[in-house]
Amino acid sequence: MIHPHTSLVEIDPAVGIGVVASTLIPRGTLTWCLDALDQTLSAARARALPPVYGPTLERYTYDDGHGNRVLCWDGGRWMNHSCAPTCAGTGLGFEVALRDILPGEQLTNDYQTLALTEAEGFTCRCGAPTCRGPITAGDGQLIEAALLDAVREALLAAPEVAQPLASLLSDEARARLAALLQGAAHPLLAPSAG
Amino acid sequence: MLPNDQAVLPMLHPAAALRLVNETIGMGVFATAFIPKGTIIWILDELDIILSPREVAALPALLRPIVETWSYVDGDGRYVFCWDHGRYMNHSCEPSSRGIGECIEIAVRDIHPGEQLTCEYGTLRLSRPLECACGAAACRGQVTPADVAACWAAWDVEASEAAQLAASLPQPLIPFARRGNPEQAILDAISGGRPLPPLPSSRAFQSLQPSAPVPAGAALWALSEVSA
Repeated sequence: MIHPHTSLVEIDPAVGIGVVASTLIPRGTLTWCLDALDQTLSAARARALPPVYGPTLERYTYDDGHGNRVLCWDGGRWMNHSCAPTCAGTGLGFEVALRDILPGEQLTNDYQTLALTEAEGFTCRCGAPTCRGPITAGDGQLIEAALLDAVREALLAAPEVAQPLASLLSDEARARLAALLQGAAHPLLAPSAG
Repeated sequence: MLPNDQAVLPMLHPAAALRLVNETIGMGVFATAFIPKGTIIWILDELDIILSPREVAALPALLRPIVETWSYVDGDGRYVFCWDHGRYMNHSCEPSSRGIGECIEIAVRDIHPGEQLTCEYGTLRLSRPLECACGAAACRGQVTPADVAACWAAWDVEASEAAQLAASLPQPLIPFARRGNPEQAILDAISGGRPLPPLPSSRAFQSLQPSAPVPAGAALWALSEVSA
């Protein structure tokens, strides 16, 4: 589920729809959490769908890193890419605001941290000073490593801000977040988690 | 599923067709291209989420009201939560489409770009009456579960007339039909340009009462929330 203080806005004709904050969303806020209405389609189930579903799957789902296609039921599926994203995944089924997101600002991800397929590569026009231009399959792990510190810093602020999505966290995510806040040294990002 | 930009009827962008009607009604679905009478404008597809009452009861507290508000209840008492903007279709007492059975909505008049796509909530097994302010000349003021008994014949005439045109029109949604669609024979006839088998009557459809009581929340569907 996407943070409730967001709305869908047409950004511009090239980018299309995006998810925009309707109030200030402070750093450390959980901005999205995988929930029971998000559908995780196994590779077998996706293959078994009639071929006409191909473009729908390509457009609205992402690969969770284990070959499953995840279809978010709500605004989660409209989050755009940025090379300087306002949000990042944690590997634990939720995302966190990396900085304060002002009303009217987009909630964005670095798509390279998703398991992009060859066909999902694109040329970025996010306009960030650090814009990398072509975003292609591979290199995701490097980007993820670069974001790791930013994610950890943001999560340390999590207890100080309102968390409307907290009740959706999995037990594992809750335990690992608690461990991080108690100063655990192990990395929060689980290499094997989706 | 509704027509989208992957389909022959190009709603330029699935969400671009989703617009705020006003603060009371919330969002609605709008045509971005001409949709002729007889076009199937919604079909139950493989990605629509179908939940038993028990599964709905087991949802986290944040999600349960969302499903209860934006679902309709089918003949088996299950909640059908459309994965796409089908869940934002509003009611009208003179809707632009009517149901043929459970899984098909067909345009009963030409729909022009900018017009809202609407349907009839009277067939959706409401648990209590809804106030209606659709503005249609024939607005009933209230939508109630009893409306089917009074109106089914007129509704069926509209659906049937539209269905007779269906085989001569592009029908981009038919390949998306959920497997096991009870109206598959109708879809096959339309695709094959053959005469239609008898259409299910909305009266007969409505008589399939849900096996479980429909919670009050389901009636709030008409007042869908503004935020997506």
